[in-house]
Order: sequence, then structure tokens, then C-alpha cells
Amino acid sequence: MTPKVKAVAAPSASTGDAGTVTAWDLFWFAPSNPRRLCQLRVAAGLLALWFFLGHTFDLQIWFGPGGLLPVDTVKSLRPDPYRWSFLPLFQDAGGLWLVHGLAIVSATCMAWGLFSRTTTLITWLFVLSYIHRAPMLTGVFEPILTLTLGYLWLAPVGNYYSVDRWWRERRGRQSQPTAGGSTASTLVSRLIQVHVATLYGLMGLSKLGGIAGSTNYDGSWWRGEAVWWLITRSESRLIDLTFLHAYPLVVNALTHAIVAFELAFAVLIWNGRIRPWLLAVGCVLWPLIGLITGSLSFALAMLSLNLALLRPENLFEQDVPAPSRSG
Amino acid sequence: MQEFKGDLPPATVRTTISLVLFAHFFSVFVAIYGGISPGRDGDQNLKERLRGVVAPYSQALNFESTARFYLTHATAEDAEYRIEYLPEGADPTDNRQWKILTVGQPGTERFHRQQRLAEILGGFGDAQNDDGAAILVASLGDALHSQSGTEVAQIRCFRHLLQDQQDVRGASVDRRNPDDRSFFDEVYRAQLKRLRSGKLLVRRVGETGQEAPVTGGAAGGDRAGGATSDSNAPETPSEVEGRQGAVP
Repeated sequence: MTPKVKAVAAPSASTGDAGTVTAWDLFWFAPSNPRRLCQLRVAAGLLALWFFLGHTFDLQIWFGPGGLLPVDTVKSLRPDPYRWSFLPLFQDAGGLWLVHGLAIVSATCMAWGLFSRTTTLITWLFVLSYIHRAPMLTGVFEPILTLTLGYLWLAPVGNYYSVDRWWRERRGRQSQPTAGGSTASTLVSRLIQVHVATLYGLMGLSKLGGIAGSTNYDGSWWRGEAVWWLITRSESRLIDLTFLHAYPLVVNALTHAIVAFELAFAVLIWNGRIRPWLLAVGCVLWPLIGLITGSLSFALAMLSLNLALLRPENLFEQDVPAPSRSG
Repeated sequence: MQEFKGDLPPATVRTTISLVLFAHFFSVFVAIYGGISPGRDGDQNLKERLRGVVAPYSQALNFESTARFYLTHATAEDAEYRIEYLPEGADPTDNRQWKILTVGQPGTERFHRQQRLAEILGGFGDAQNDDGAAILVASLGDALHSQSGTEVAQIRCFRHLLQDQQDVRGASVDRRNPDDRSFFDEVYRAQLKRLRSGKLLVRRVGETGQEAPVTGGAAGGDRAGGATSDSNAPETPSEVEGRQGAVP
């Protein structure tokens, strides 16, 4: 019989501090099934692979000898002292190709679930090194990828959909269900959820309020025009929606819908009844934003993060048929 | 109150992790929300100082948000930019002899990276940061030379102006075409010359495009790209020697 972990504690007004502590503990530490995180590992591994493959054609152009961005140029343009990278150690073409090959192998192993946690950690370090090698070239996709990888390796992400699991079962080491699931799984899920909700808040608020240092923001998101200005970026867009000039109300509605969605997501995602609706709206809006802005990778990364939010509100009320060992 | 029947880590472990969680998310919140404006001067100072405190952590793990999550504010910085270069010996007054720097297809990260490079150069041009621009242009000139074997005589950067809804609505065919030359505003142009030492001398020319609005308002006219307007313009005082070329 599959053991069940059941949480029945709930803070009440009469429990005072003890209730608050219990709710905190349950939120962060109640064991849960890592299945969703394993799915997210596959998605993030494929996105990391996409990230590295995207560098393949231009590796020498950007970073190689005689490339566009020598190390000293990057330091002159963007003197961030804490952005570390091991790519500058490999300035010759051969060394760069070697590192790049290892990065691709690492991301591939991660997606397939071979030594899952280790390869997820290594892939994260590779991605950070590429980003920090030329931070001025990064956009909205990379921060999403790094936050996903940075948390995932802390969880037992090799328990499902992995070569690790297949290999253990093939060797006759049957999965030992753990009575309490994995605390690390809950912790990582919550870390991703809180971080993602924070990012949604940033997206909504920075649309409305501008960014530090910018003085010429004229409130295009307030006036409902911002989507038009995205549509009219003709070099990046993947679909031409300029025919919407004849339907300004549609443009206005879409603009306000995006802001409302992002602000609502940051707060209401914690409500179990509203959460599925927000995720469903996201499944429509993100591909649309990806097509309008040309940022397909960003849209896919945001969609994949939904996997960390798909589980029911009570994470600990689940069957836990997961193997005890992580990858 | 009923008891939780599952296994939780020991209380000391939970407490320790909780403290780490607090420190982590404090850093994340400061790094992420520290970039939002507006705020009073005092707030900005506080935000900058807090961001400085958590910078070793947030920068090292790439939590610090400098990305454009707002997508657009319809300002000059939110337009698209294009870099063009002129091989040595070509006629700068003939637009057909200028080559567009293109990497990858729209939708790919390769394309976005090239766009960001152009945006940086355009930003330097706007801000009159000739030293920053010269560093970048020297790298560009060296890279193009090492890849194609051709010396680059000039490099220029255009801001691709956005089309106003009013412009497109009921406009002429030219105004509907976003690639019409009137939608390009030259924000930077430089001449390159390789010295005997192998270094590239970068010299900015012209003063065009500094006050052009990002939105396409009135018809073309003065915003007509500057494609042929300033090749003989007086040189600015800034002359910066770039780095040594990688290819002898």
C-alpha cells in the first residue's frame, strides 16, 4: 500500500505563535513528490541546450580570438566586479570549443536525467559563465533560465523521467517509496514559486512605474498603447499585427490585460482556486508575447515555470511513490 | 490543533534554513525591486546602497535584474538599432555599398544578442560616450577584418524609429513600410583607420540624430536617416585608439 503523507495542521487564531511557526514549517518543509520538478528539469535542460546551441555559430565571433567582445572590452563596458566567468580562461579557439562542447554535453545529460543533480548544477555554472562573459548581451530569457537551474539542482530531480531512474530499476534496485516524500522538493518548489511571483510583480510594476534612471517614460502602459509599440518593432517581431491600428480598443485591452495578469499573478497565484485560471491565461499570453516581441525563448521559459506551480495548494497531500535516492 | 504526521527536518535545521531563506529573499527582493522607478531622491539612495550591499550575491548568481522585463516604455532606448559597415574603398554616399551586420534569424537568441550590441552602440552615440563607442567599434572593426579579411572604413548605427498608430492609419505606402529610410535615424558614425602598429584608430564623425524623437511623427524630412548626410562632417575632438587587431 502506498503510504500517504497527510497534513492536517492548520494555524488557528488560538494557536498564536505556535500556529504561525507550524504554517511556515508546512509551507517550506512538508515533504512532497518531486515529479513536477523532474518535469521542469527536462524543460530547463532543453532550454539550456537551446541556449548553448544558440552560441555555437557565434562562439568565436563573440568570444574567440579577434572576436567582437574581448575580455578587456567587456570589462570596460560593464565593470561589474562580482560577475565571475571561467570562459576568459579559454581565449584560444580550441579551448573555447572544448568548454562549449562540455556545456552542450552537460545540458544534454541534464535533460535526459543522467546524474541529474550533478549535471543540473554543472549546467547552471556553465550558463552563468556564458552570461557573465558578456552580460550586456543578455536579455529577459537568461535570468529566468538561471533562476530555474539555480534552484533545481537542490531537489531530487532525477527521481522521474530520467536515465538515473531507469538505470536504478534496471539494476534491480526497486524504488523505495519514502514515507514523507522529499523535503528538498518542497523547499525548491517554494523557492521557485516565490521567486517567480516576485518576478511577475517586477514585470507589472516596472511597466507602470518605469525604471530607475529613466526619466522619459511617458506612461504607454497606462494609456494602453504599449502593445502597439511592441507590434511596431519590425525587426524583432515574428508576426505582423500592424493591422490592429484599425482596432485601437483591441490594442488597449491587450495592453491592460498583460499588466493586470502580471500583477494578479504575483498575488493571486497563492490562491488555489484562482491559480489554474492564471496558469491558463499565461498559456495564451506568453506565446502571444513571444510572437510579438520575438522573444520565443523567454516565452517558453515562462511557460515551463508553470510546472513548478501546477501542484495543488497542499503540496503534502499527495501520494509519494518516488524513489528514495536522487540522481 | 492536530499534529502533522509526516517527517519534518529537526527544528534546528528548519530554523537555520529559515534564516538562510530570509537572507536569500531579502537579497532577491532588493536586487529585483531596486531597479524600479520612480522614487524620491532619498529612496533612490537607499535602494542603490542596498543593491550595493547585496551585489556580491545577486550579481554572482545573476539575480540582479537589469533585463527589460517591462518589454517597452516606447522611449528611444526601446527602439531597435542596426549597425552597418562600409568596406574599405567603397563609396560612403552609396547606401547599397553599406553592409548590414546581421546575426541569426528573428526569434533566435543569436538575433537578440546582435540587436543588443547595436543597442549599446546606439546608446553610446546618444549619450555622446565616444570613448565607450570607440572601444566597441574597434572590436567590431577587428572582428570583421579577422573574419572577412576586409578592412572596414566606416561603421554607423541607426535607430529604427517606431511607427505611430496615427501614422499607419490612412498613411501613404511609404509611411506604412517600416523599412522606409525615413524611419532610420543615424545616431553614430565613425571612421576607422588601421595604424602601422596594427591598432585601429576610431574617429567619430558627424553630430546627427541626437534629438530625433523615437516615434514617427511628422513625415520623413529631416529624419531621413542621415545615410548620406555627414560623411564629410567635421570630426569631433574624440579620437580613440582601439585595441590591437588580432590578425596581423
